[in-house]
Amino acid sequence: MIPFPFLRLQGGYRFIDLKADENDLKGTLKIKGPYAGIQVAS
Amino acid sequence: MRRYPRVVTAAGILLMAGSAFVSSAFALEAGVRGMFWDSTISGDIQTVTDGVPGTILDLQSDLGMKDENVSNGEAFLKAGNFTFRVAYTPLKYTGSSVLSAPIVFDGIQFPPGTTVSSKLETKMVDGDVQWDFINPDLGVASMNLGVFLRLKYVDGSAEISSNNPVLSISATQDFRLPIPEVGFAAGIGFLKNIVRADARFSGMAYSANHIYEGTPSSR
Repeated sequence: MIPFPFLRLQGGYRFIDLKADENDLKGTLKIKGPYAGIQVAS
Repeated sequence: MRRYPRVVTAAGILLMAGSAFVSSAFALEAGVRGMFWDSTISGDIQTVTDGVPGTILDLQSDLGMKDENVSNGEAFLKAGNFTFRVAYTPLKYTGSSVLSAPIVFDGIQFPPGTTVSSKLETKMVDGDVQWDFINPDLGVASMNLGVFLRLKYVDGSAEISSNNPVLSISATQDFRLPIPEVGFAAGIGFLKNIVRADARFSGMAYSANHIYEGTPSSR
């Protein structure tokens, strides 16, 4: 039997690598790192 | 006469395989997910004012921006082979540094030796529609392979200011970027998904712009 079947813990890694070259703004942005999460689902 | 058992056997196998797909085709699941992201930031930024480019500023070495912990969330609805997701990620990075050389940001010049505070703040909203083209539920194990479309909306601002009482100047550059992405998703679960590993990767590149992002995860 699962005590809390609607509740789940998770972990992972997330990264975003963005390069923008607009008229008035140029840049690169790299955001990355591990994450921990909790999920409630039916 | 011998053909009849073979037909029954083949039909039985097809029904068993089909029921695996049918059961997942009508499965319905909804939920919310909260995440705590230990993020590190790097990159650079440059404004262009009336066609005149400003200084290329490294977020860490020039502006002293620090890594931050980010709380973000996601709501999802899975109906059969389709999954709809809406995610919200607020980001805020700040820094402080003493300029070793003059810089120009948003058309405003900051002289060397100035102590500046900087802030990069963005709110990202992602809307996903995912279609799993393989989604069988095999009892003790399940898996999915799918593709998804994402519309990411980035609304943010970059600000540099000097709070020096002698020289108080501030410059802010706002930006809004709607970004369409195409993604690939895969997952495998065991014991009714008590133990599960997933991965989603998406991206888009056009002209001199690009975005790539991913979230491998397990539970």
